[in-house]
Amino acid sequence: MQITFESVNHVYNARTPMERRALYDIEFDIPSGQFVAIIGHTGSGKSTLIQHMNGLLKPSSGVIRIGEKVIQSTEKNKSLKEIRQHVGLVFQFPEYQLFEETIEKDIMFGPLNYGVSIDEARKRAYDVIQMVGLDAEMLGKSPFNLSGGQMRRVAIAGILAMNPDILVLDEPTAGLDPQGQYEIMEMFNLLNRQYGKTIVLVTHDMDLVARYADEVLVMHQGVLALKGSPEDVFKQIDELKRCGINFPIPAQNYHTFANRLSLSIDKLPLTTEEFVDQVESVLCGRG
Amino acid sequence: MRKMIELKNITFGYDADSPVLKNYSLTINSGEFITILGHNGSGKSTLSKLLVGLMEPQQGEIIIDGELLSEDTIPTIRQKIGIVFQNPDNQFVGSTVRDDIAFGLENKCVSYDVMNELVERYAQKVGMEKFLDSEPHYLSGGEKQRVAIAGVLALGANIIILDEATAMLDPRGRENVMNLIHELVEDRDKTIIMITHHLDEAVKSDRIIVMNEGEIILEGVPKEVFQEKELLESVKLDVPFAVKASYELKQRGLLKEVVTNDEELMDELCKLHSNR
Amino acid sequence: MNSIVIGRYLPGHSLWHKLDARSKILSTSLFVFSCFMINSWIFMAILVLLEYLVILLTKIPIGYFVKSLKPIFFFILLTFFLQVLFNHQGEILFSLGPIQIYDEGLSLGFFMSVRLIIVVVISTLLTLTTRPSDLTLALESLFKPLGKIGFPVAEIALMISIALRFIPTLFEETQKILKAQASRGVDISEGKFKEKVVQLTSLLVPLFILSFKRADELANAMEVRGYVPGRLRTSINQLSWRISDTVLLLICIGLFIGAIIF
Repeated sequence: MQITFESVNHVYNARTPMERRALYDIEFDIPSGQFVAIIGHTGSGKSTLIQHMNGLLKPSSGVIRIGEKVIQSTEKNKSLKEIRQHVGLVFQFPEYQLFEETIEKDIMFGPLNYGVSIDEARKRAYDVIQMVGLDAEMLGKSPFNLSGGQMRRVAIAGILAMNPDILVLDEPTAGLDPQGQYEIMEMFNLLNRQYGKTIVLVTHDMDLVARYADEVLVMHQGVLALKGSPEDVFKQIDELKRCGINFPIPAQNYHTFANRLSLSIDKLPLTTEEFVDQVESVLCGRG
Repeated sequence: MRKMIELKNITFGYDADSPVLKNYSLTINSGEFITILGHNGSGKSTLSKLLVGLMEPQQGEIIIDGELLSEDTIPTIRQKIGIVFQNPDNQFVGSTVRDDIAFGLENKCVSYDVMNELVERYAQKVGMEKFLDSEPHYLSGGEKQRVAIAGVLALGANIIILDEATAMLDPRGRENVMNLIHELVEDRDKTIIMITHHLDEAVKSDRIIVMNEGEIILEGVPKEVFQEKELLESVKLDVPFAVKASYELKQRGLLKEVVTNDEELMDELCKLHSNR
Repeated sequence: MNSIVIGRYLPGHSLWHKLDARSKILSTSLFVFSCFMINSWIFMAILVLLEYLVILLTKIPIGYFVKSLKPIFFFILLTFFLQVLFNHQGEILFSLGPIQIYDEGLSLGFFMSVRLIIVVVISTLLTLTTRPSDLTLALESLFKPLGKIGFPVAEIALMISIALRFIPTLFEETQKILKAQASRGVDISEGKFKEKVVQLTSLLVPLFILSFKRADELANAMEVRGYVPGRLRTSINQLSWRISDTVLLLICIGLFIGAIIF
């Protein structure tokens, strides 16, 4: 399912003393099956942007297309609910949305809200709990006795159970330890590659962007400042600095390295492996 | 060197069968900057709650600045030890920055004039002097954490515990808080204990303690600790970039030694380049 | 978050902002009492005018007050129509089937609506122009005599101050959970009663869990910073009563006496 934004604007509290403009003429499209990262520092409009993707916010002007569906300022709430089934939005710290006595019931909550039969919802719970890397035997247990990382997986399973084509993730790794972060990101990667879900990832971690994203959107003060592949985006050093964005650590280091030796930079390494390879080729290769 | 904190054979558990800390002993010296590392659930946060007397160990003793921690000494010990918790919102008691920095002083019945002086001095120290009248919901997480640090400093505590104080912050907030912590370390008049799972925050500490399942599995200066890349990874910790890169370069026969921070890595690489 | 006005404070430097919180609370109370006692339009016009002058003095945009009336708009409307429809005094203005409108009903409907509006606006004015910490300190100071009979004035003042401080946080959190559950297909406006109950639990359970966690962490934070309930504390905030406060209070006492007499 493709996502298209056509000159989308958003103004909070329009025509009140608290009026605040959050998005300015946003235009982009995300093809089906892509892994997209949205970056920008706090207050850049990222979170407003993603809430437009499943109709939690309506644009003040402009059009958003999700597959065949259209979201405009005049949209009825009923059709927005419909859209939310196709675009699963996972908020930051999603473990705080759990509320049922058992994991199974909590996962079934979403599908049941969309009129799926109990049997089908139960079957989906059985499937998705395994997709998030947990054991189906846990279904009967209370979600509140799990570790933080496991609770988060259950919450994500609850979104996956609605069988969305698009998964929008707001800082899904926040507060997890390094191992937990790695595992959960690998899980999203799998959902993208194996199950064909379109993934939209909002993150502050540039190393995750470098490792997983096909495409990067850079937000700055409510404007879409840059868009392109990680290689292209991270090449635009001055523009990224203006947006207050850090580079992936390997790129930062290579940049310093190359500057100190006055080497020309064709390409910045985005991962540790690339860094090591590039340094090796500078030191050994080419003579 | 004077001993500031001594933990002797501490055992603690929420239930008897599975102790969170097992026969745990640790000595921290006055003026030391120490980092306690471990993944979520390794027992590192339990440690901080024991140190400030929010929980009591089942066995062992805790001695802080020469005083045995007990029901009777808790009030005096709490004057010496300040803690900043993880969640910036849930420790902001006052309705403004000024009120929050003053909260501990108010409890100590400090007079109005002295209090005002202290609040302003420490607001300045953490760079929040322009926000004294701001309410918490207009502040970022990083700003709230800086206010919390000011509150601890104003109370005159000589031990500061940062219990995952940067875990919920964005990169900018984290950087600001870490810069402030490093500034405090430079002053050298506080004992600072930082509890975290970010290894890159530990690079500048005097000593690193790595915990796993309630036990110390590794202890030493950053340089020594980071050599143990495999051990660290086996307890679910991610090593800093410089360690990973230099480790890999060492495997390929380019570097002789694993380095711990970016500056060293750059120096080594430049040296290699000019030697060729 | 930015859309709520209740309990919000807008920093400013007007004469009204600088008044002692105690005199503002006392004067506002006297103003409200006067407002409920009078029934002459002339007196009401004086009150409206005074209130308008104070708003001008504070330089706060009228929009804030309009916004503050929104939550009770329905209540004002209800008051108005109850009077208009069921107050059968005076002369019939016109009748439509079973509905008969009397002139006094209409007049009283207007009067009571205006009364409600100015009461809400003056209270909003108090919270918009007074720091929450000053408000609680003033309450603590005004209720101090109750402490002598064992009433925990200081503890309750601190409780109120913490409650006020967490209103925006709680509001934000509620919004977030509402949105998270809406993303799972919750739509409070539709569905049968039974479904509504489940949907409401999906909001309330997470809110309770978060609030308990917060209460626990907050209690820890207060304890380690040396808070002991019931023990004497000093305060960083001090109130200072000036001549302008006495003048204001005298004006409002005058108003109040006037309201009793007329």
